[in-house]
Amino acid sequence: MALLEVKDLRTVFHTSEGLVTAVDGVTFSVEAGRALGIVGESGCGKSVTSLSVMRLIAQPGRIEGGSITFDGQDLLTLSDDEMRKIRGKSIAMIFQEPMTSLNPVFTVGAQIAEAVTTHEKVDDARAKDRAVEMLEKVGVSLARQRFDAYPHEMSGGMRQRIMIAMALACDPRILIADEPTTALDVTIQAQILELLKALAAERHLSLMLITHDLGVIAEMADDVVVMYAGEIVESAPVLALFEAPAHPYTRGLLGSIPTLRTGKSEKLTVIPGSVPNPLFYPGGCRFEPRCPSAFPLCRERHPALARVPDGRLVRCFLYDETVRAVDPALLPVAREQRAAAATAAAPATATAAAATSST
Amino acid sequence: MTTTADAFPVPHAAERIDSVEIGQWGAVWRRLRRHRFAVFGAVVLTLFTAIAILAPLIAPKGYDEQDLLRRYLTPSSENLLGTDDLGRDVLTRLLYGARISLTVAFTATLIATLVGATVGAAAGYLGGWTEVVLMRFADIMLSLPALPILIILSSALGPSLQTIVVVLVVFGWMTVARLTHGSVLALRHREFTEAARALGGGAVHNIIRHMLPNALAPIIVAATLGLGNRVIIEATLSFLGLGINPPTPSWGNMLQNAQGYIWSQPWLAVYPGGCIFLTVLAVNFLGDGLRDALDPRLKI
Amino acid sequence: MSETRVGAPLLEVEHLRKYFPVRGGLLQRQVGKVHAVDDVSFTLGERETLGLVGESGCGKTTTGRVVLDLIPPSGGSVKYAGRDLFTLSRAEKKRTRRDLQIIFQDPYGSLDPRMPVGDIVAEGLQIHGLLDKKGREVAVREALEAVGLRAEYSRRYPHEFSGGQRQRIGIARALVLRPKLLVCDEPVSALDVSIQSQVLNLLKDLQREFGLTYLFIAHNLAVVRYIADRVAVMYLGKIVELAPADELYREPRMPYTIALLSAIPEADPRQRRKKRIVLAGEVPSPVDPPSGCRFRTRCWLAQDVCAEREPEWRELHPGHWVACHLAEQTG
Repeated sequence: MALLEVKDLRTVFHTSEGLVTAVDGVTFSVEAGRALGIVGESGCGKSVTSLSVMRLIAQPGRIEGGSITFDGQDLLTLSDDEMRKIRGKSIAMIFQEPMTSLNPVFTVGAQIAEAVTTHEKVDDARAKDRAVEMLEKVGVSLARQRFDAYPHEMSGGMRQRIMIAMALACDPRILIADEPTTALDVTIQAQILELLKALAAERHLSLMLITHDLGVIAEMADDVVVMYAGEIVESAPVLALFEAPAHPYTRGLLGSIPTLRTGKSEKLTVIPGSVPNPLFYPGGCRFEPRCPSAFPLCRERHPALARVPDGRLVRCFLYDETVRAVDPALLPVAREQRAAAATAAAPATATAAAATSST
Repeated sequence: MTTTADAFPVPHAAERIDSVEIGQWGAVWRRLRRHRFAVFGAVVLTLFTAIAILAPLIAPKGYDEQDLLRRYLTPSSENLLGTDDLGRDVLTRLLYGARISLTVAFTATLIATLVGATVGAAAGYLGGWTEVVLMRFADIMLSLPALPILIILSSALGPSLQTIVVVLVVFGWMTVARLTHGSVLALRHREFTEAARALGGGAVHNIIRHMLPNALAPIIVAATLGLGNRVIIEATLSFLGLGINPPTPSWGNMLQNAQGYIWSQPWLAVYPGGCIFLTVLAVNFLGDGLRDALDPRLKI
Repeated sequence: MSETRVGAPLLEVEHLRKYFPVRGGLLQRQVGKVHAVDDVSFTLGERETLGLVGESGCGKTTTGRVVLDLIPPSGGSVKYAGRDLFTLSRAEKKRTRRDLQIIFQDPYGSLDPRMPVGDIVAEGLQIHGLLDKKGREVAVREALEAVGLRAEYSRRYPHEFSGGQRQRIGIARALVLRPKLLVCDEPVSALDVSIQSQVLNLLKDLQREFGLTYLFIAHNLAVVRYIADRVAVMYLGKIVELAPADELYREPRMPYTIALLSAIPEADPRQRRKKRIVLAGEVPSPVDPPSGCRFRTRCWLAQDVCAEREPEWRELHPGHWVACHLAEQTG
């Protein structure tokens, strides 16, 4: 059984403008010692998912459905006190903006020590030792002196290391990292990612990594879950996801990222339009308005997350056996051949134009 | 072969905006409507303003029509609110009084706000010596004891409508100036201000088109509350005999008139006093509601 | 290969400097200065895209602002069409603004929330007194359509649009003046990944259609690769390497560039095992930059000479410039 199993999680926000279902029936699991990457763009619900796992959702938000099973226990059935014992000790979290997550009036050492004393019965001296140990572990030089430094005296990369030290001080089983390197420079990001990898390997730590950066996912994750408009649209092992992305959104996403090899003469894939307003989700497939492979059924019915032959999960009618049986022309292969023929006939136009002509 | 139309991405169906177009002020109006006290305030103010404008048309009698045979009368069908010590119809005088009091307050508020906003915006945007000189001047003015000076100025310049307005403006522009200055200091560094400079916009253009509209919220609230304040100051001055002189009625001098009769004919004081009270109350409620409705936190 | 017929030099930046004072003490007197831009020189040819990359604090954003005279310079010159911008009269400077425009990073902050979008786009025309009311309406409509937005939304306010749409409005605003040069200050960094490609493709199309020249400032090297002809790498206020895009990415010579390229996580899990260069330490303070070569404190090849002398800005191969004592050995 997996260390963390989330089933059908549903988190909503009762705003003055209506009901926003930020997380709509999300199911995934994190195995012991493995890293799960949750990737998606702003508004897809990935951050709310991680906050839900930690039960850090505050009014007007509420977790209204599903179960979150950690080590056999459903976290949603625990009392606040019981949850507090788990938060920070067995499941820890680090955030994107270390400056706002660290208390500016306490020294960094004190904050790490506090993480220790909150969960374990140790005296202050021992807690301080543990804190210094953690500082060294996360690569902060001159740890004993740095213990007395304040957050504003440190750089962004340094502060993120402090966050990691605080999170790992009580030796948790899972570390949830919500966009841990997005605010950092590229060279610092590389340092932090290497650090996380090393620590995870050393402590048999599971990682739940939330990010919009597919490069970071490729670098760190073993399994990947792609979210769009509050739902999971694809779930696959990392290699399979990058080599042969199935869902049109995943394909578009991968095609729209420039790599170090994409030169000026090439064209990036464009996913036209923008993310739907969470107050007005379309009734059918939520990606349909922007999908280059959409067909009429996609607007009428909402696809379910289904298993495809190679083992991964995809939420798309293109891979739904029952749909394909009805009309062979709907087979992905046939569609791609037609799209390729259309592009060949109009070479200079953007992919968007080809998409609008084929729908 | 590609034409110009093909070279650009066609607005895709997904580029639609789903929300209904209501605009900035539409959203403000909606929020204001929900604030019951503010609505009450707005209604009362509108009523009083209408009365002030229409006074000559709806007043039953002339405001200085004396009838010495009909003095100190209690309310009757002839004189809906009774008569005063000279037999003049109290209701008529109240209506004309509204005219004076509100004219003075509105005019003074308008001018003081314009002056204050200009000074504050210029100080905030231009910085340097301009800012230092203007804001220290405002600080000095704020440190002066207003009421005694008001009294001295009024007696020196002679009581009249113009005097009061001038005096109210001279002592009223600083609050708005301070507020605007503070807002503009922050707005000056926003990226859209930089964008305006990049387009070639000079100081005047940027202040008028970008600083002031974005600083409007606190200015409006301050102006509304200042209005109430000025009604009271005018009443005070008139009460002290330094404002509007009889026979022209203002709520303040009606109060002064009623001083001697407070036990025998209390209604002579209650009516004008009540009007002042209601006006200031209405203005304060409206100001509160506007402050909430214009809250930038609720935007974007 | 798309046509990038680079023409005559449009912009010549020479020994540009910008220092910000650091104040301290009771009387707030100047105790030091931040070397934000320290002797930066480059040229931009017509219809060319020069990418300016670096991490935070390297001075690239400040360079973009100083080049447009949005921040007054501390030294150096910027010649546009042969004339030094900083010595022009106020009227001439205003006139030049029509040719040199900028698009900003933050799609939420760069549009005035109190102005309808049509007015935002028309503002440039209004400031310079161009066209009459009807003409402006037409120009606004054309600009909005050129960036892929419906003209009928011109009465709406910025907050009703998404981030990507707002960025397009910003581009329309700059375009309406028919500029020659566009400084793009991190134009896609604040956008979602799937929107980035929309805006990047738009910028490329517009460059072709209107013959624009771009100074493209970014920290994302992959994005810059996609759009730039030449790339300049900045570190702590100085340009440390400048080369045609293909060559820079294929054969970087300055150790910082090498480390920068190596640090980028590739969207390819098979590249995971490759040895990447992880730089030690933090970026030094720009108030007190290291002597000699500023990168030496984090450079794994650093020698004594790197601390003693500032490296010369020299042309290693034709078109490939480097500031490094050891550039020959990094190939």
